Amino acid sequence: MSAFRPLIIRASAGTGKTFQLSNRYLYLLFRGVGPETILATTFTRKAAGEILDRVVERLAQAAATDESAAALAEQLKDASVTRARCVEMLIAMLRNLHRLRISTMDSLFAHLATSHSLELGLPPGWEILDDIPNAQLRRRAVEQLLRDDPDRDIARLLHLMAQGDVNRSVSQLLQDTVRELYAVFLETEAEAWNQFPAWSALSAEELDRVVESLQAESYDRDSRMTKARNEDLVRFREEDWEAFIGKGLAAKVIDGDPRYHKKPIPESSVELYGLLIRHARGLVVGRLSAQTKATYDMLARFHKIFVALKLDEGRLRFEDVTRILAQGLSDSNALAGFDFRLDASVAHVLLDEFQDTSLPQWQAIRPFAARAVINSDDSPRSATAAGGAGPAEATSEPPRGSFFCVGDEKQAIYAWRGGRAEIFAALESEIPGVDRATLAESFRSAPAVIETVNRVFERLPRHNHLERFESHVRTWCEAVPRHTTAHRDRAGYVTLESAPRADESTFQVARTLAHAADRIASLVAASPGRSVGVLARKNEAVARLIYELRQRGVAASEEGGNPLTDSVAVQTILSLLHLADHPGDTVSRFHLAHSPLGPILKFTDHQDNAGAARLAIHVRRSLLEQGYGPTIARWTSELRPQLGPRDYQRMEQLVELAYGYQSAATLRTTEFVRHIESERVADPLVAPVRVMTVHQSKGLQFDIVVLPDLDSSATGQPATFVTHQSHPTKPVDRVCLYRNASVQKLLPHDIREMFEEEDRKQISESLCVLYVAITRAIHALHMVIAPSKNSETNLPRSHAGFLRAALIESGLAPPGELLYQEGDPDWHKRTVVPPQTILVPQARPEITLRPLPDHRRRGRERTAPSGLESGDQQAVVDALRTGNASGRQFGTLIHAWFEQIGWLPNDLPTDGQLRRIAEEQEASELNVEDCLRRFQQFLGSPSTTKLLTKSDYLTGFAQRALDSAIQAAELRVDVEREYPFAVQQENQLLTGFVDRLLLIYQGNRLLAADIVDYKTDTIDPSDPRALQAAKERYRPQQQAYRSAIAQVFQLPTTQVHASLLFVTAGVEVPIA
Amino acid sequence: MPIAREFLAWDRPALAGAVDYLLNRYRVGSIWDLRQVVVALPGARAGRRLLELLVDRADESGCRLVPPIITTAGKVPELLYHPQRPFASEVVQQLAWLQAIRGLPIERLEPVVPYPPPPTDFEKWAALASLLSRQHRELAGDRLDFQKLAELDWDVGAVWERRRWQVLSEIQSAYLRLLDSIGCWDLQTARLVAIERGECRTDCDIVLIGTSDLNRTIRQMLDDVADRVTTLIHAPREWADRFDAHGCVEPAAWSTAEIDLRSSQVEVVDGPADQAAVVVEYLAGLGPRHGRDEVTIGILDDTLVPQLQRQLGAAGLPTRWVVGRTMAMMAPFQLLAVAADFLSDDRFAAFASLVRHPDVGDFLGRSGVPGDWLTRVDMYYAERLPQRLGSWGRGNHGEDVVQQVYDRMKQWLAPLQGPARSLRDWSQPLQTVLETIYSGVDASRSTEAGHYLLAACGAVRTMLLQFSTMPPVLAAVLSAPEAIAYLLRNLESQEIPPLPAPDSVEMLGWLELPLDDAPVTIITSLNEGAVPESLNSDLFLPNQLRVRLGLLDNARRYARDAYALSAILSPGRVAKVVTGRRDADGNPRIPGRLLFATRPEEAVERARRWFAPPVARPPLAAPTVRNRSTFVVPRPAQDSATVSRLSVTAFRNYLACPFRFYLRNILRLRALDDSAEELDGAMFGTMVHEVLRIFGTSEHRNATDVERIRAVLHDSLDDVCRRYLADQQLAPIQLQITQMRLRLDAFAQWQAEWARSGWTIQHVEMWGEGNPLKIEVGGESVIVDGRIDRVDWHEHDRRWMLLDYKTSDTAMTPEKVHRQGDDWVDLQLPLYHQLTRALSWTEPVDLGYLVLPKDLQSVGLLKAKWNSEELKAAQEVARNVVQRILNREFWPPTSPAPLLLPEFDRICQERTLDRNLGEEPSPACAAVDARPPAKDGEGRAG
Ligand code: SF4
Repeated sequence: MSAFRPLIIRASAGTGKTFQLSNRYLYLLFRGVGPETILATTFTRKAAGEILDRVVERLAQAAATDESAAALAEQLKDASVTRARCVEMLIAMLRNLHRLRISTMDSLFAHLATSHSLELGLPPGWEILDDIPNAQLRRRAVEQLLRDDPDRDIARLLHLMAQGDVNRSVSQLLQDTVRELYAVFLETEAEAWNQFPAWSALSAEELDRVVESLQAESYDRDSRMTKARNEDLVRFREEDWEAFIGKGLAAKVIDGDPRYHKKPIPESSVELYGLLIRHARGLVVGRLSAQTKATYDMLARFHKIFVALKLDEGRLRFEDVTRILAQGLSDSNALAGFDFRLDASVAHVLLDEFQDTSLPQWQAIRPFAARAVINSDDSPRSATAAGGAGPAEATSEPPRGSFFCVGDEKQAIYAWRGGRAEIFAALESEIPGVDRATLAESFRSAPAVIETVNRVFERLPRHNHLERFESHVRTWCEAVPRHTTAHRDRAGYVTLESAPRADESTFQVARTLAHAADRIASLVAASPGRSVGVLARKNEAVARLIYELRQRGVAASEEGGNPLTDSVAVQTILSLLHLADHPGDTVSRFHLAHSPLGPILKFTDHQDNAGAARLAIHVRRSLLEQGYGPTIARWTSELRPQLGPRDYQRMEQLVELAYGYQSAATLRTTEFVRHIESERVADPLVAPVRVMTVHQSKGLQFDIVVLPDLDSSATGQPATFVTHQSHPTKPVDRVCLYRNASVQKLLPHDIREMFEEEDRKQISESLCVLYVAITRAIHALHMVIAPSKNSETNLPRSHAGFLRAALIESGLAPPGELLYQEGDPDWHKRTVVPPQTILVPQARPEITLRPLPDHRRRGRERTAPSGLESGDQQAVVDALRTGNASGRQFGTLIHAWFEQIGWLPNDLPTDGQLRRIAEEQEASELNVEDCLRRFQQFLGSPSTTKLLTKSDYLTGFAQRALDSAIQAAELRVDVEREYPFAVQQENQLLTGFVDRLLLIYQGNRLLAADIVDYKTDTIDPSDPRALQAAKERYRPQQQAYRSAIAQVFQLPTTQVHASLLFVTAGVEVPIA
Repeated sequence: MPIAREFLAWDRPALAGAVDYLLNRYRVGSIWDLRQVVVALPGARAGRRLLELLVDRADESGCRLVPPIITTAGKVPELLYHPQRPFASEVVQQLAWLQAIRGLPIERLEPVVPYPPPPTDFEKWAALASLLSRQHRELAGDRLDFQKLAELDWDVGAVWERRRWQVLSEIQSAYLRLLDSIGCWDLQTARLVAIERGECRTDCDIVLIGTSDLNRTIRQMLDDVADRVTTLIHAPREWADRFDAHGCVEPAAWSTAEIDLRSSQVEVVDGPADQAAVVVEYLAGLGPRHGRDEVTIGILDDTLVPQLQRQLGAAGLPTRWVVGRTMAMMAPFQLLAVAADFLSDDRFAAFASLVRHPDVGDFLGRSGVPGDWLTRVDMYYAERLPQRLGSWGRGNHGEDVVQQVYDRMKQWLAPLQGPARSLRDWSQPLQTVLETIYSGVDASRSTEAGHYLLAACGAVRTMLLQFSTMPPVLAAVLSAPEAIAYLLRNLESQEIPPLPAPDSVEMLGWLELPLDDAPVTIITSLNEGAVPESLNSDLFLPNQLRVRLGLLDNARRYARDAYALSAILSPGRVAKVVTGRRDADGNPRIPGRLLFATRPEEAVERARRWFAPPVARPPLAAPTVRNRSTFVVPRPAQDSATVSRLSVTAFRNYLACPFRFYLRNILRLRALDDSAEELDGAMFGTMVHEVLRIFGTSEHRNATDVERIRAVLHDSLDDVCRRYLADQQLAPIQLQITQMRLRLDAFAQWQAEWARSGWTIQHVEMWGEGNPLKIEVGGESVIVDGRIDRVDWHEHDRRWMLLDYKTSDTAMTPEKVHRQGDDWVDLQLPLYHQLTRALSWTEPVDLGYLVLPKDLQSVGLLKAKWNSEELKAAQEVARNVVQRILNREFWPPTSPAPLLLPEFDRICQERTLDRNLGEEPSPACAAVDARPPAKDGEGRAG
């Protein structure tokens, strides 16, 4: 056997699946395989995280001490594993954390698809479509389907689908159809829905003749038979096939037992009945065929619309990605392309929980698996022991490929979401030379539990009322290997007990759950500190149990959680949000007005129409401007004095959801309400008692397990449809809508087989659920069932019935009795209590960092004078006005040109220079030559010339600003253009540029500074009011410049002057 | 001459060292003139801080500072050459790419886009264009073009890639030609040209600070002016070989470098709440010796921000997250989005969203629409189920207001109506539409709302300006919704920074942290994926290809981040690192690799700590003051109006739940929404009833000919549809009407036979006009209101038959509806019977349902089979109900909740875990108790 022969492990519950997988992983690492080439997938991100944790943790342990390293060497059966090598491996692994491929299948596929999105025809930048938007999109598609129906085809299809019923609700009907059948639609081709034989019915004349003849049959004095025949004919005429073949003589004939009340039915009648049945058959099959086909047509139309909507939104479901990817990978050359874009070629495939793999998932993973298998052939061969490890040869080449898969068909409880355990079995035949191993030794459960598990599945087939499920049950149970446990001394205890009988006012289910809650309360009291898992089949039971446990003062947390609507405070918020969308809803108004939130929002009179309208718009504005999270957080804090701890916590969770919702937020607050109503949020605190569904318990274990919800029918609701596939790894090739048992009798043999197969699937899944439920326990397992009914003649076909068949000799369950026990009731006294796991919330510390109301040293506020144009209030339209683009461009260009000028006339740039400057500017809307002409005009204006000509300027300045004692001639002036400054003023940093800064010296003494700010606003120089207004507008800005320049040059502010030069008008407006 | 490298003191913050450097180098006497100095930093924030430090230092040392040009490294190149042409804006580049792609025949595109979007789908093509634009930008940044990639020698396995790059390179040339033709450049190309022509020069000194990663183009340009360039490296001099000649990190040297992170500085926690708790505790531990500006919280995963902000806020510390908000959250953005929806498809749903925008609401308010317009809109929808609005004229109540609102919206959006036009030409109408909504609205810059609104409008304006100045050859011709969609796509990810908050602790992103100089830094979410980043697959440039081409690859990313973390941990600073094992959704996360960049023994220890099963931290207690919330189901007011009339159906409500009866029939609370997707049961029933009523009053009511009956029914149905429904109803309704018609056809069959058997229709919607049904108890009496759908008479048998129409999908017998076990839960038919007694009818009276269910076989009569004893008992129940109502017995709500009247479940706190009916009337109740009693007749039940 080669170390790297493909290996399939069937691992019963608690037998260390993850351990096996991490073994394989570690072993590959030690054989020199790069972690980026090892693909390990599972189904939940949590499980993926656990695999990684386990691999690194084991490696790190081994790297820490020689003993651990030796233990690892032993586990891997690889003597070359030393502590030093472990360190080396660990470091390599830690350096490559980003390249590990330990993930869920979904995220793997999403990753692969992203790297090829264009090639796969995915919309660029596509995202995953979440459940809620998916449901919305589906609704939209249904709506569109109904809307785009010019030919009124939909009405025809609807009537076909509804089997002649005239439902009121059409969109609901379609939505139900889509919800139930779309998944199978996606897996099939059109022909699959059209696989019915064309059986002909009798012709009208034939029919008349047969009916007449049958009518004429006489049964002597057997009035019962005569009556039955007459009734048969009525039913036949009414085309009530179900009743026709289910009752009377027809039923006997079709069952092949032509006797009625023990008297033989005359041959002639049997023959006539045969003809009628044939006729019924033809009609029934014809109708079923038409209905199935109509359903397909409807789905196909829906599909087209739905796909278009999804592509348009750029969002896809994981299922879509998987399917598209499977398609894209079906080309044998495709893998190389993926290797390239993923930077590594996946050579080693490790699959966990394989029984839950769906067909499209398998199709997508299969090319990788196939390559791994082929390459494993050329892997260096070396002897090895079971479990996949073998002695290492340091010199050997790393293996080129390998395949490993682990799963358990007994834990296949995800068929409802596409899991196909049958692939697991088929795999063995698909992979040549595959090794197999079966693990049945539990590392979890006490012998009492394991003993019970064995007993249940060995003896369950003794159940006296399995009927059509009998052979399926037998086959399933026979495949269960005998379990053993590694913990032969582990103390444990198992019971099966019946609840008291319910009195008339309560339902038995409620009574049983209440009894179970009592039991749990006493268990918790008797064995504190133990983990307790309460596993139910349905969410409703979970909610009920939580309620019952809280009534008894038992702290219980709900796995997966409830919608937040279990909090009164949250409900009030939801009413407020509903009101925001529909201020006319007086129910919500009343609710709000009479809640503590009413006074906070100043809405206390539910009849106040105007107040409601105001509040509605106020709430919507707040949600829009601040977002859902901050708004609801504010309400929470305002409500805080009114809240108990639990409501507070639920409100906090609402806030979290609200933040998460923001990206999907619309202007319709009721959409958020719907989101909250459908989203489940678990208590953040894990209480010692955790209540959950069996499905959620997969992968978990508890010291004590309580099963209180065992009485519902094992097979549940019949499916909406049945299917056929030629092989587990082949797509569905035949679909038939579900029909009840009596109609089934009329169907062709191969279709009836599909119904049988459906039975098998249902019962298998149910047994899987039972198996998972009873294998979660470490020490104790307590099963609580309803007492047997007084009228009971057969064992019920429920988990309770199965357990009674297997564990109780008589099968009877009188009320309030201990029916079965195994192990030691005092087990908890014989084992050590694990360390305290209950977390007491701790007081909130206060942060006392020094506040800085205005003296911030780091990260000061920055102000640019240019931004000080108007005050705090601004008209919103001003912020919107683009002005004209050319205006802006013109302003920038003119500034740039003016900046070139030192003093006129010497520093006047040439037209060529100016044009070059213009080229660098954004001047798309400008005619540069025009601008040039205008620029020349500006320069020609007297005030401009005066200001820009040195001697004129100095004279002017001296007159204007200086002591008359100082003559212009004594002055020297430096000109600075675009002069940068930055100064600290109070608690802000003032920074910017001065267009033109003139520094006036007398000798070496700086006398004054003068600021010139170019403005390109159009302004009428002859209108003094306009000038004054402009001056006022720019005053704060200019004052800021002055004070900054004063500070930089250490001048008194009075010595810093400023003026605006309106270049277009040619006016200078002194500010100071 | 190579670039000068200087090492800044490692035991002081980098910027402080840089200021020292600048002072030493440039101060001359009392003048510190940095005008000819360009200082380039990795980010803008560090630049602002540098300026603060420069100003402080100038003040301290009494010299006059002329500040330098402070910029980011990415903008230095444009200071080094004179671009010969203006740069194409983002939008122009995108549209140029778009045109370049679409210029290629579709078959030619196959290697790049095997599944091209439909030619009309502008959005998708534009998305493709920006995808290519990004590749171009990155490659050009490293002096590569698509042609070079096509020329690589590709593995056999990757021939596909070569074909792709060949086509891409064709597109690229087309793109460049296009830009050429409109006389502009993109930035990358301009730089490449400048390098090629040797045009880089400068009169300034260039000082780079902490620019540990530069692309090849920038490096080349800096090399071209190397004699003016100094790079300041914040690192101990001994690390000289960890940096290259440009002062950038050397990936190889950093790949094995140890980072000086002590294990005691690292906190490994579980989820986001635990991260927040650690931060709270840590800051609480600092005490008052640090100011709030001396602490920085590093955010590596921004989903943690809300959690942190709330927890810190609860502990008394305000914070400021520097990223602010994105445009997508802004009111004008949302406004345009819903307007586009409405323009592209004016179905009611789009209209309903549009009018719920608060700015639209205010606008409608300003334009004089009655204040309850939204309720009118909802009611209009609920009653008439329109698919779209716009055809009016049957003058139902409220319709005028709805019409007014609708017209206002149409008028407002009129500038955006009309055929497709060039993007350039949409700019003005879009602006007009926005100006209309906001005209007269002022905003205050210093309030959060005002700040964001103004900034958002500014961003819209800037983008519209780009539209309006776009070269005509590029401006695509689009419909208004397409133009808006394109506008929004370009805006959506823009971020608007928050207002300054002087008293808050700042939260910064990773890139800002190395140059931040707060004495205390807390880094949160040091997890793989956040830091260091890595790229593990790519549509165009996977990591190995990047390595080959010398692009930014994982090794360089790692080096950059390893250096960044080293700098944050440098001796002058105090730092704490938090890493979480789970994200907000409870999914596992991976630790950041940087945590393990330490001695092997230490790494082993840390790995053990990180990957071992987590030890849960106790959570922070809820800051609540009471054990139980004060939310109480409100008690009925004791002084509510006197009941003088009751409808027949009210009895059912009362029997189901007295409190819900009170809410429904006394307070007359009504739920209202617009969620209906089709006719609900009630409306379906009402319409069928109306058709049958018309039939019952028609001259053919006693016809025995199926066809005649059917004709009457069909005509009435048409009439009823016209009267009840909007012209353009929701899509499913047509089908529902077909269903109605089929049921009526079946009814016609039955009716003909019924009539043939001797029954005639005597009354429809009968009630004892002038002789009402009165129930008296203890001297008080209540009048019962109702209507018997139909009363038939059999002349031969001399019997009456009282009939009630039932249209639900499944037919239920009167017995099933009226009784549960032995209890009466509905009294409708017995009360009808009682009325006939009151009218002193002497002939025998039968009761029954005329059912029209989905199963057409079952259409027909379901007779009630109660004997007179039973009917008496029912009447006794009715008296009892009246008695209790007169006694005002409305409490408590029935538990468990009845199926009837589910709209009151919230008020009754159904399905909550802590339902509180209150021992005493709550204070809230007392408040309403004080309300004046309802006026006479107000308490009359409908
Ligand atoms: S406040 Fe008055 S009206 Fe409102 S619930 Fe309480 S008692 Fe009834």
